[in-house]
Amino acid sequence: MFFNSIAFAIFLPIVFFLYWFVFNKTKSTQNALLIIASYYFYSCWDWRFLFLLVFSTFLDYYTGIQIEKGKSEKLRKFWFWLSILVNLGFLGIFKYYNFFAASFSELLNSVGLKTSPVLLNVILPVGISFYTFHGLSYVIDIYYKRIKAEYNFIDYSLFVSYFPLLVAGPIERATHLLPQVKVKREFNFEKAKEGIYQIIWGLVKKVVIADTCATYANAIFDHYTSMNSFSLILGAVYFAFQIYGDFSGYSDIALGVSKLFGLDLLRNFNYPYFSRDIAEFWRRWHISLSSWFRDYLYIPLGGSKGGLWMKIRNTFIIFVVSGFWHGANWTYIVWGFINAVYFLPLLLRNSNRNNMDVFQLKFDLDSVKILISISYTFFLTCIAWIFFRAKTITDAILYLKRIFTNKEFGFQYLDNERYNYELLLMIGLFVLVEWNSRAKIEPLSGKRSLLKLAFAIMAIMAFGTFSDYKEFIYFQF
Amino acid sequence: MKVFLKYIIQIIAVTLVFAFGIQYFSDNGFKQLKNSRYNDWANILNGKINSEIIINGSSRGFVGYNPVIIGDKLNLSCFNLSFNAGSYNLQQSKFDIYLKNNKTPKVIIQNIDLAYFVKSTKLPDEEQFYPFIYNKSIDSLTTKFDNRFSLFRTIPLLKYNQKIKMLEEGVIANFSNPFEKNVKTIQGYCPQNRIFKVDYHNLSRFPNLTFKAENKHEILLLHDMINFYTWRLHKDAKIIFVWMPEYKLRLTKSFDLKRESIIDELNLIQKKDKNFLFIDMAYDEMSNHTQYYYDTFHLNEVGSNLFSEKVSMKINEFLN
Repeated sequence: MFFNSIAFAIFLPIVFFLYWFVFNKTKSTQNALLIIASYYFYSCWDWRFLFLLVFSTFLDYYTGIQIEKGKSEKLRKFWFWLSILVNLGFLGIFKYYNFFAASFSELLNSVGLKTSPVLLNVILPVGISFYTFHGLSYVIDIYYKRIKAEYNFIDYSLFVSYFPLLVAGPIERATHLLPQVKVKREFNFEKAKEGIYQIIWGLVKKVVIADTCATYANAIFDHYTSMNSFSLILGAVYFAFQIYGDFSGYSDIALGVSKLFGLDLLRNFNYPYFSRDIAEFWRRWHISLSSWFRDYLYIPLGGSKGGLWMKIRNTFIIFVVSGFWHGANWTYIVWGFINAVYFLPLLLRNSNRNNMDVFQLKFDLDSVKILISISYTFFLTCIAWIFFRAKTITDAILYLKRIFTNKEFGFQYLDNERYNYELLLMIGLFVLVEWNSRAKIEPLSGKRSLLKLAFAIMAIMAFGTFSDYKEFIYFQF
Repeated sequence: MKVFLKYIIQIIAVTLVFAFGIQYFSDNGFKQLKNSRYNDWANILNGKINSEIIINGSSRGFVGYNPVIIGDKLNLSCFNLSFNAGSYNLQQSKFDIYLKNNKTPKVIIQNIDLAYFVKSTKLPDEEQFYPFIYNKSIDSLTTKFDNRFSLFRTIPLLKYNQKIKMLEEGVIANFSNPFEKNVKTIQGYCPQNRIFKVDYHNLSRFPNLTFKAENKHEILLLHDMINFYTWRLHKDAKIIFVWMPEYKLRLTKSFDLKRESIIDELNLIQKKDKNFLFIDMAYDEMSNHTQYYYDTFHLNEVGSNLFSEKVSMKINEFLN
């Protein structure tokens, strides 16, 4: 069940109604309903994976308690590592086993030892990377005594399997979400209104921007060998907006839906394409994942407290691991590596925290510099996205090579002509709207919000992609 | 909570007002657009045609029969009712809608070719119905082919989904005509100012049709169509079946074999029925010249004008 499906449009009002009118007596009834709804939501993909979700939930719940109760450090460590290994084990088997087996076999073949890898015929359970990280952060926080273990299984289950964030995040922290699920929620009109704004804007991003861009990005990337330089540049830009619209659209809907139930989730995107350097980009893109890696990988590895080499090593580790988290393919690893390379000059000049302030544009030289920095950062991001989108590293390199060698800049006929020129205008308008609203969470709130909402809904109806229905990209991660 | 539900209703209401407003503006633009298939539909539905001669056919009829020339030559009012890309079943439906709102014609010119016998299972050129989805006749025709049309009636702008250019054209049509050549219609006829290009997809399409030598099914369909008209027209109304000139690349042995029994049957009907005429111009001299076609199957504007004159003369002989 996707957020942009008819099924969800029926599911959400039913759960909303039951939540506020039938199950609203206590926080336990509210939580119980949300868990039932979440499990139903998850089982719509494949009910068999529900067992994995329940097992993973129970494991972290139980080990969390055992770690807290552990009388000796040895025992605490045992439960801690048991949870870590089982969680990562599941992730390893379902997501990475085939990749490692195939890569190892290729390596052996390249040195003359002929082998054929034993591959597993398993489907990747949707959202496994997200709920595993929920569980991991919870257990790690208990082990390091940052939080107390949760003894109420229902409350803990809701933290892990709450349907708005279950399949594509944001990756929540126990410190943020658990306290909210432990109290009865009262309906808050302003919060629900914000939720509606976010849901509608998220849908605009997904079905109007992302899915329309996807039609072209797919046509260009799938036939890049016959595309000219201009089309290839457009392809990279379209993909940049596709993945942004897709993922941030999903996050917006998740945050919005959650607000309807009185629960706040972590903000996942903060207009990343308006970043002045790559460090700022990573503070604005998939914030919940970046901060997860910062807190549970970068800092434990020593962070920036050691010498320069340690900083560089740790930076490369978190970017490459972050790339690998996205998928078991060398393209994601290279994408992570490229971002680390982008980050390196900032790290060496100690300027990675330069652009922390909110900027205002004026008619002066500084503003021109800001615009150039934003454009340059977007350009770097697009180059990296080519590796993220391409099927293989070779494809990505050939794609880039063709941009610079073809040197033809005419508009080409693409498979689907429907928005050949209009799409660029649409993206331009979208950028303008987001630019003007960058101080807010979404552009629809504020003055004349009702009118803005109406126009956004009309845009969804008139320009949204419904016929060649596309699922959210981040579901595969 | 009450305030929230009120707010949701407000959002829906404001959205519906704007969305239906824009949709109405676009629909209205199309309806008013002179020399367009939309305006033709508007005139049909408003009973403004009432022609003495009605031309019926598919895309070949749509681009091949100039009703101005035919009407002038025969001194009768004439309208081209052809259904672009529509086969016999759609042509019949369109004719029924026409009859519901207009006077019964005295003469029917029915274009016929091999494509005529392939039943339409999808609604071609569906955009032509968008401004008229609230009309009962159009609704029953469109929903029979495509369920989405029921949704189009209730959800505003959905019919224009992904058709941004069309929506834009509809809005502009309230102020000026956004259409270029080859889309404009004259009394239902759509002249094509194009030069010849071989349409290999059409050339390979029809030989693959599974016509049998005796063409039983096709002959039944022929009788069905004649009966269809006979039941609806006045007793003395004339029914004229015309096989238009086809470009010489089409005139193969297989083509002859496929249409042989159909031609025989039409000639037989002609002998029996004094109100029925069959004009076979498939092998007309025009077949040899590319300047009259834009592909092997369709006449261009020059070709359609010449053909209309030629066919008018033959019809004139029959009528007088």
